[in-house]
Amino acid sequence: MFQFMGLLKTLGVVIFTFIAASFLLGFFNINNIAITVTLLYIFCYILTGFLAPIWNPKTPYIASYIASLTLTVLNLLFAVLVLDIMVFADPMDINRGLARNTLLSLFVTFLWVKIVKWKQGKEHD
Amino acid sequence: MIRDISDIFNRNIVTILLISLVLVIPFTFFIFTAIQYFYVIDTVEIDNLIALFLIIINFTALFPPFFHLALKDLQDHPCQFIDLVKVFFRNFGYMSFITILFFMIGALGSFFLFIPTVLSIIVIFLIPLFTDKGNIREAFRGIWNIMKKEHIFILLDIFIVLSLNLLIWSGSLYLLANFENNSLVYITVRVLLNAICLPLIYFYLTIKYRDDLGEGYGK
Repeated sequence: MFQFMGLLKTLGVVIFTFIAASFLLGFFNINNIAITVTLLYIFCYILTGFLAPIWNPKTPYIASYIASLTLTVLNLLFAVLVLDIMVFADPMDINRGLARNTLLSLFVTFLWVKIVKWKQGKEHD
Repeated sequence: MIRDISDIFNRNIVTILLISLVLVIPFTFFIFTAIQYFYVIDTVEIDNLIALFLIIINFTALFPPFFHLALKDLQDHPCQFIDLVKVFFRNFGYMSFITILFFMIGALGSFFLFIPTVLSIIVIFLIPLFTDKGNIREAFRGIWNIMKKEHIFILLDIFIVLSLNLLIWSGSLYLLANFENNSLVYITVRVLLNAICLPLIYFYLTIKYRDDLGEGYGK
């Protein structure tokens, strides 16, 4: 059974990490924006893929997928409404972003589920 | 009721001070510097609405640790400090979701706000009173029961909270009126005031609306 509360917990922790990590990265004064954003996004979507199966153990993949999709859309909306970047002008860019983020989260979820199964199998033996 | 609040405050004063130092002061500092940032950058056209949203989320997101503390205290269980920090991070998503949802209703459909019932529904949903249920349907059902029982008298409570804030805020500004101040001073004063008066308001709301917890409370 998919639990909406678990999805909200995942989203909350990841959004908090987004805000805190970007705030802390601002202090390091890295001039290359691409490196900063890539580091931030890779870290946060790996965290999404890691946290989603913890609070949704019955349906890990759909939880991870929906969480990273929601986060991507929120990022796009924030870029349009607050920072005034025209991200919706380039559909291929949005496609690439959605595919990359969800793939990263799903891959980490896959690894995490395999690791948990392997650990449980080891305990039974 | 005031005696109950001061009882909880006295019994857990060290934990409340630690929570204030670790969570309330940095979080409020961050929120108010973010408001300052949104006022400065040019791309935002609705900076007043964003400031209002950030102030509301400052109030709601800090509710769960103190709520958890009051919950454990009313049931006579010991409460550890690290649990409260975990509760804050665990409930941040629920709080953001509810706040964004009802802020959108308030901001986009502002003609709804002429109806007092809708206003009190929005206010009582913004106070996350049933986050310990672990299920979103149970939480909404509990809030709806409160809504049916109290109706527009919820607005009276919000009036109390707002006027308490306004009183302390204007009094502290009166103290600082003769100095040359910049915005950092105001932010610091606001942060300290939040650390002082937010726990009292949270305990008041918890004791008022969660009457299924302890015996004899809230009467």
